[in-house]
Amino acid sequence: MALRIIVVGCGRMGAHLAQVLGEQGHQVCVVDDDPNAFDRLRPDFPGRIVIGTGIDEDVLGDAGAAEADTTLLAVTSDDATNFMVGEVARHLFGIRRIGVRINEPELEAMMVDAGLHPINVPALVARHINKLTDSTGKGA
Amino acid sequence: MIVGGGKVGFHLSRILQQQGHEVTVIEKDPGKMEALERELGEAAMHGDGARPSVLETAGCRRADVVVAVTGDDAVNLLISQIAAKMFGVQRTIARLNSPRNRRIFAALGVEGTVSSTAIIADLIGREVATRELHTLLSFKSGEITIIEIDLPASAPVAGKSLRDIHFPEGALLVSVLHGDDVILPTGATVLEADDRLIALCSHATEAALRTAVLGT
Repeated sequence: MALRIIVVGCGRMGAHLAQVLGEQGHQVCVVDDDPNAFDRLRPDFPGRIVIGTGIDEDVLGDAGAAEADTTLLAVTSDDATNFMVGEVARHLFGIRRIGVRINEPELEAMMVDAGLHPINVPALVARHINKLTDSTGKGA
Repeated sequence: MIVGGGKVGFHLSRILQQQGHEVTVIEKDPGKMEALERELGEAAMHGDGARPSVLETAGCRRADVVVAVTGDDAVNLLISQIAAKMFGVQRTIARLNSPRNRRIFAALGVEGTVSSTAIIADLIGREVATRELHTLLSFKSGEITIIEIDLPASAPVAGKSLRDIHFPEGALLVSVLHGDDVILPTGATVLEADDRLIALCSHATEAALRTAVLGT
């Protein structure tokens, strides 16, 4: 099923996510306040772009945040910005599926309490490395 | 507890200290620490106030009020929420740098949001000249403000001692910045051209204070 997805932040992570999700057939809109950031998307990027800061209600509105069944991914490199984008999406637009990238693992529990889904990058990398070392340990 | 040791955080800390409150101010930038430590002593603490463990070490759990006054609204919102949700702080105040963010702050119950830019916009709207007078911080939705006045040589109070100057009721001179020195004002303090005055006043007194100090 094609989802409506807003990706906030068109850095390396955001651009990659937007590209992959767009190619999977989802309806993607990517938001960044730096117009040059969209250069990271491939010319065949199938989604929409909105220039502006994702913490701004009007910008998220332009990106389609008010539409039903929207998923939002806040993946800028700044934890505080991602948190604020997530809170605006949740409290001012009533979005329920919100992924928030965090680089500070200490923030994970609070994000969960706030009803946001933390994408805890250091923990994910650590888990991945654990799997890698486990499997080499077993000689796999 | 104050997070952000810039201009607003520094002056706010001084005022609260002078009022007898136990203040801790957390600043991330090591370059600002020397001045903060010199003026505020042990109250100044170095660290990233947007990290829960830093807030906890600084005694956030015991704080009656946490005030986030960095220049970044998202950081201020995050700090207020960490303080309220993780450490049970009853009262959190965050500085709003952009009035556009007022709605989300209110929706999250961040109390007493302060917005110096809104006050400045308000002043401009009322056609009050703000050239030598800047609002640093306002409380209670703008009823009480901390302002900064740069004293030109033409000011009627330049060269006078404080005991000879009549300040309007409702205005309190908090400190005088003379070059790099911070002077705690007494009656004998003499104001000089290029001094910077920091004053606490009610919104209603601002125009009278301006007239008394600048003569305009």
